[in-house]
Amino acid sequence: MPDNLSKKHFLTLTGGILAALNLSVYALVYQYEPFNPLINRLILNGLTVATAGFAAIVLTLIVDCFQPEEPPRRMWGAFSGAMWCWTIGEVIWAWYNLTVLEVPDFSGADIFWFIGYVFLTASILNQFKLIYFGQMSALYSAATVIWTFSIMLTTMILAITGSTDILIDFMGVFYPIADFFVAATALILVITFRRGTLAYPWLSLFAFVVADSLYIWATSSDIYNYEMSGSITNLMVDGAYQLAYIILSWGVFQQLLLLKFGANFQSTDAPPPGK
Amino acid sequence: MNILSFETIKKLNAVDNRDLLSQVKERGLTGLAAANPSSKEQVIWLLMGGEVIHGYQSNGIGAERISSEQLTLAPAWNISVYPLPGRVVQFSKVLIEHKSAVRTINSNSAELLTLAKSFSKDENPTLMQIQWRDAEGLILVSGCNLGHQQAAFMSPQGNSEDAEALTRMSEWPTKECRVNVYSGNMESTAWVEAQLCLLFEWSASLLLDRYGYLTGKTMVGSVTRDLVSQALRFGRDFSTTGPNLTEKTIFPSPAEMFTAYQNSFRLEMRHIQSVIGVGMMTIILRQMQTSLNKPYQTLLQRYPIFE
Repeated sequence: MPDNLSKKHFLTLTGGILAALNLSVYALVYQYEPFNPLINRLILNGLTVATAGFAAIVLTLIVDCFQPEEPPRRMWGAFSGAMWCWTIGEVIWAWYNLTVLEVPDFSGADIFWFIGYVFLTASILNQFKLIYFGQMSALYSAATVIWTFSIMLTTMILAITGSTDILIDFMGVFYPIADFFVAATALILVITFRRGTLAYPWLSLFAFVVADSLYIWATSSDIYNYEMSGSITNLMVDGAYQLAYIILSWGVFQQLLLLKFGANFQSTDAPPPGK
Repeated sequence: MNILSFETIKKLNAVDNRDLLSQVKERGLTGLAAANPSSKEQVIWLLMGGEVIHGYQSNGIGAERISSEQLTLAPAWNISVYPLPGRVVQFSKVLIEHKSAVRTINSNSAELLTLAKSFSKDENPTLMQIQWRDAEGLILVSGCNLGHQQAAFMSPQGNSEDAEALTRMSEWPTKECRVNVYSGNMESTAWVEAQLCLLFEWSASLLLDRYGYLTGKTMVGSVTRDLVSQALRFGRDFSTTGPNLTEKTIFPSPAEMFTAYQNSFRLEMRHIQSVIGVGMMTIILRQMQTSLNKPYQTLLQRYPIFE
């Protein structure tokens, strides 16, 4: 196995260097805008799409590691579906940003991000199913309650605030509520798998939710400037979002390495048990 | 001494005792060696991998464990060696050391598995010794609804163990058989060992099964490879089929058995915990412990293999 271990270390190191490079280039281009505006936006959007796409590809490779009848396949399949939806969402968002600069408040990207949450619910549900060995009725009930509560709360908030543009406002309120539940369930999974490799993907998802919430907070409180200038606040918000994608990619990449090369586990010989 | 009916088991052919013992050593045989020093006395030795683990001496009233040396010190006795599956040697210890009454039931091949299933609800394990006129089988049922069984089957056509043995027994053409039922208790060391072995196989397999459910078959493979390699380094008769572990090593005492099982279980837990984490491991261990009834809980307190 030493060959496998060195391969794993090499890939981990390469992944680490690429992740650092990704974030550095993003921060530098974002803050100093060294090229013409279109090229700058192309690099920044390209890095986000590429990172999200990388996570989606890695998740697809993870799904491929399981036989169709194996229970974890469904969980990873749904996670992969969520990531592909978010990647498409990022592509649409990038397209608007490159062509019309200011992205509409509601676009096709939102539809894919919304569908992504449905897939993510399926993935989290399947992960809980694996933990609690098939107590599905309780889990389905919990998921139904959470979704119903999220949609009802969103609708109530829209009614109270007297929303005029339902779709835009719906998504604006729904994201933080959905993020809260994703973060809460991801946190439960992180605690359950604490000190285990299986915690990484959920920990990274938790980081993504934190960054996403930061973005929602900044845009809704008008401290975010849609024109990507050298603003530190913008850099922190968008940088956190990019970092979260990097962390998510890192988390799922670790899972792929685990499946391909085994656990980072050094067996130590116990004293001979005798015959 | 309650033992097997050796009539249906092939004996090892040899010129004399010295030749017999050298064959045992060279071929790394597992099985039983038997001798009758006098008309009232019987001596049985347990062999594993060509080594004598220990023996039993009976004077017609009860059987006592004796050291391994006596086999080499008994050149004048007419010794017979029976190569047997490891499981049979494990079960033989229980047969020999069993002290309570033995129940006998007349049954037939087709009903054996149903009969075994009925014992699985009992508090303690049960050893079924099944005797046909041309074959012999043994089934150890875990009890406590754990759904775990060990089995061995011997016939002139050959021997088999566990799942294969159960199939052969249920399909054996000579239908009529007699079943001697040995109800488990903690009276004898052999029963403690048998129960500890059942507990180890069941818990280690269940942990692997749960791990496979969470992470997939590929991940199970890397744990079983580590377990097998550790066990083989210490000369144990240990194997795996998917997440199912089989331990057929004959240990000289429950203490040594416990050390070996604890080492395997620790290795398995450390490996699995590095992937699924402390919290999930605690959930699985708690689920396993709550499925155990009082006799198994008592055994676990005495031999804490999960720690």
